[in-house]
Order: sequence, then structure tokens, then C-alpha cells
Amino acid sequence: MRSLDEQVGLLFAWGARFISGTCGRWVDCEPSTRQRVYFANHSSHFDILVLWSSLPRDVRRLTRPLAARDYWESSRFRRYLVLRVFNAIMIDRQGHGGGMRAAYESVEATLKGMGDQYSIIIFPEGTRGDGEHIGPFKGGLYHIARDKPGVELVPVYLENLNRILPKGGLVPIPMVSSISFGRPLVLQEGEKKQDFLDRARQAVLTLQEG
Amino acid sequence: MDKLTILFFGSVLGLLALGTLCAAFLRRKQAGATAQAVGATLKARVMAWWAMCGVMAVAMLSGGIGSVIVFGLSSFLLLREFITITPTRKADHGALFWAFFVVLPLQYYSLYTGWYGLFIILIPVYAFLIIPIRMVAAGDASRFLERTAKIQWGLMLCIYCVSHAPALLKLSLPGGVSEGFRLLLFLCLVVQIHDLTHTLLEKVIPGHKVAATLGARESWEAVVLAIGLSVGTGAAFAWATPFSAAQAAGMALGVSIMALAGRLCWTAIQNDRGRQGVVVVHTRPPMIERLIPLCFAAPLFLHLTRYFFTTGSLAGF
Repeated sequence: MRSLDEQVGLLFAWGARFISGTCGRWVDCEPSTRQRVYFANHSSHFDILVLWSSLPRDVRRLTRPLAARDYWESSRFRRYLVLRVFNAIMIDRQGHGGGMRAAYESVEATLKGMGDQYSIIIFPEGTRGDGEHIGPFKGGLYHIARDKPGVELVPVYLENLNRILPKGGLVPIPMVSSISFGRPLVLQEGEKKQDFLDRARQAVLTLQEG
Repeated sequence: MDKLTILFFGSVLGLLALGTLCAAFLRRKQAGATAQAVGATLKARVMAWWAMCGVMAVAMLSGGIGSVIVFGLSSFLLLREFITITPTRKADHGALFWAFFVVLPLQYYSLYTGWYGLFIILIPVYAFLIIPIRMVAAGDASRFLERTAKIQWGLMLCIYCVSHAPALLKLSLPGGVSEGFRLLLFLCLVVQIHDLTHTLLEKVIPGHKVAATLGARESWEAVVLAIGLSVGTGAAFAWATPFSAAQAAGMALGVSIMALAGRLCWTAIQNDRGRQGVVVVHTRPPMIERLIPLCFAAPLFLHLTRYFFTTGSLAGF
């Protein structure tokens, strides 16, 4: 017997697919339950749900999105969704009064939440973009890659989602979107932080182009 | 189902079985490249029809509500696709909400309850007014006419026109609902025979182009053959309809001309949006491409039937 939270999760996954018609396109990457970091461009609050729904069910069970505390804890419904259904790791966003210390704590919380079996979903831009341009990546991805050397870093590109639920929109509008998973990256020996972040961003841009 | 319906449905399934066999024959290893290509197209089409027949049988057996749900869902998926390939702006979000979650259910509700007055004016009149009003409320005037026109086009094509096909089940015909069902099957059959003939002929004979400036692949030879074949099919299945053979042929003629127009308009939409805009709908052929001939033919077929062959007053279905 599945738990209620899991049933709700299935319902949401089904609903997200009905609205967005998304099925994942695994371009240079196979679905797997091994520990991974999925990093994607961010343009809509719908992103987490759609990315999470497009993963196969056994992978989904072992994947925890990173969610910004200020948004997701602002109502009971969101809190239920993000904690019980998505099993998310809550993060205090940088630039919300925290600075370096908050950034450090976010990485700590993420590593703790990953343990040695959970994969995570992160949006390294840190905030939602306009859906066309992908902003510069923040450092968290680098720190996770450095502290978890065995983990695969999978670039993901989400298309059309900001048309489904743009900034300020309340109800998602049905639209066909696509979600592509690219070739996993690994942090090279001695690679500088900025070089790595640029390379990771480039991997998402490559998916956007083709 | 009555005997006539079973017989008609059975013959359609027979045609499908024949199509499946033909496709398998064409796709055998020794066949040439052209035959292989024709076979592959035929197989894809026939498979889609099997599914469609299954869905229609379920719709018929479950009564009126089944067909409303099936066609309502088709409208939803079509509109979702149409909006995807149409550029919309952030300010259109509210208007699109109305389109999907108010207009679409209301149109099929009016069909379900047999409220002909609402069914016929909801989208051409009220949605036509509500969409621009909602856009004005969103406060973005850039390309205003273009944006309202695109959404209105989507509503007319994907909801209004599509809903005219299941509306056949609502007509007060002498043979009742099962006669409506046979008419729906007749309409789908004629449209599909026409569309299939075109698609296959394009691969076999190049011919003289109908609309070369559009870049459409249709040739005059294919047009004549496809219309001829669908008129023939219509006449051959007159026994399943309230029409005489000549009337059935005339209906099939009207339907296939509209279906041809639908194909050409789809080419025009593709040109307008560019291939780039259309491939957003990844991996499979867009559903609109398959259904646009039916969208174009359904209103004409419904209205001709309603005007000349129904028994009730013209105030209702």
C-alpha cells in the first residue's frame, strides 16, 4: 500500500504531465538511480514539479529538489507539497540578508540532505529568469561537486515553462513543453570555480540550442 | 447498437484490417524504397485509426457523456498544441486561462445538455468578446490585434470546429443517436480516406502543384483522385446514412473539399510559423496535422445534415 503522500505525488506528477505534455528527452544520458545532481535553468515555479515528474518513479523516490524557504514555506499547502511530497531540502536563499554565511549553510544543508543515496535538483541561477536568457550560475553547484566527487552532474534544459506559469501567474496554462537531459559532467582535477561554473552553464546552453 | 450500426462499424473495421495487411505487404523486405515508405505511412495511419475506432466505440457505448469527454479531451490537447506553436506573451496568460478552463468546458457542457443556442454562439460571439476584454485588463497593448486573433483562431479551430463532430450525436434524426453515430463514423471515414489518399499519392506521383507558392505538396492529380475516391466511398456507404447514394456522394464531395482546404491551411500555418515554430511539439507528428481536415469538414457536414435531414425544429440540435 502506498502512503498518502506518495499518492498525492503521483496525482501531481500526472497533473503536471497533463498540463505540460512533458516527457523527458534523455539526450546523452540514461535514467539511473545512482547519486546525481540535476542542474537546470529556472524560469517558473512550475520547474521543480515538471522536472521531478519527468523522472522515472524509482528515480523520483530518491531525488530531492532544493527549494527556497521564503517561497515554499509561505503557505500550508506549499509547505505540505514541498516537505511531504517532493521531500525537498529547504534552503535559505543567498541575497536574502544572509551573504557568505547563508551560502555556506546552504551547501552544508544540501550535502547533509543528500546523504549517500539521494540525488538533488538544483537551479544554479538562484532565481527565475525570463525564459530565454540563462543567467550566471552561483557557486553552490561548484561546492557540491567538490565535496561529493563521485556524483554525476547532469545538465537539464527546461523549455517553455515560463509560458506555462510566468512570474506572477497563479494558474498554469496548458502548453507543450520539453525537458532535455544532457551528458553528465564531472569536476576536473584542479579546475577553477569560475571555469567549472561557466562549463556547467555552457552545457545547459548547448541543450537549449539543440 | 442496432444492426445497421454494427454492420457499418464492422465494415470500417474490415477496411482497417485490409489496410493493416496492405501496409504489412508493402513493408516486406523485398519491396522497393517507395513501397516501403508508402507502407510505413499507411501503417502509422491505420494504427491511429484502430485507436480512434476503439475510442469511438467506447464513446458510443457509454452514451452521450463518453463522446463529450473524448472530444473535449481532443479539443484540450489540440488547443494545447496550437498555443504552443503560437507565440503568446506574458499578458496573454489570463486570456488563455479563460480559453482553457472556462470556454472549453462550457462549449462541451452546452453540447452535453443539447443547448444549441449557446453551443453555436459561445465562441464566435462571447469568447470573441471576452478574450480581448481580458487582455485589455492585463494592460499590454503591444500587437493587440494579432494576439487576440491568434487565440480566437485557436478557439475556433480546436474547440468550436471539433465540437461539431460529436454534435452529430445530438441531432434529432429519425434513427436516433445510433444514426448520429453512423453519421460521425461516415464523416471520419470520408475525411480519412481523402487525407490518406493525398498523403500516399504525394509519395508516389509528383504531379502539378495546387499551391506551389505555399510550398504545399498537394498536386492536382492527387486532388482529383482523392476527392474521387472519397466521393466513391461516401456513395458506397450511403446505406448506413439517411442519405440516398447521390446525396451521400454530394456530402462526401463537400466534406472532402473542406478537408483539402484544411490541409492547405495547415501548410500555410507551418509557413507562417516556420518549421522551427512547429517542431516545439517534439518527436511525434503534431495532432493538429492529423485533425485539421476533420476540423474544417465537421461544421459543414453538421449544418447540411441538420438543415436537410433532421425532424425536429431548427431551434434545437
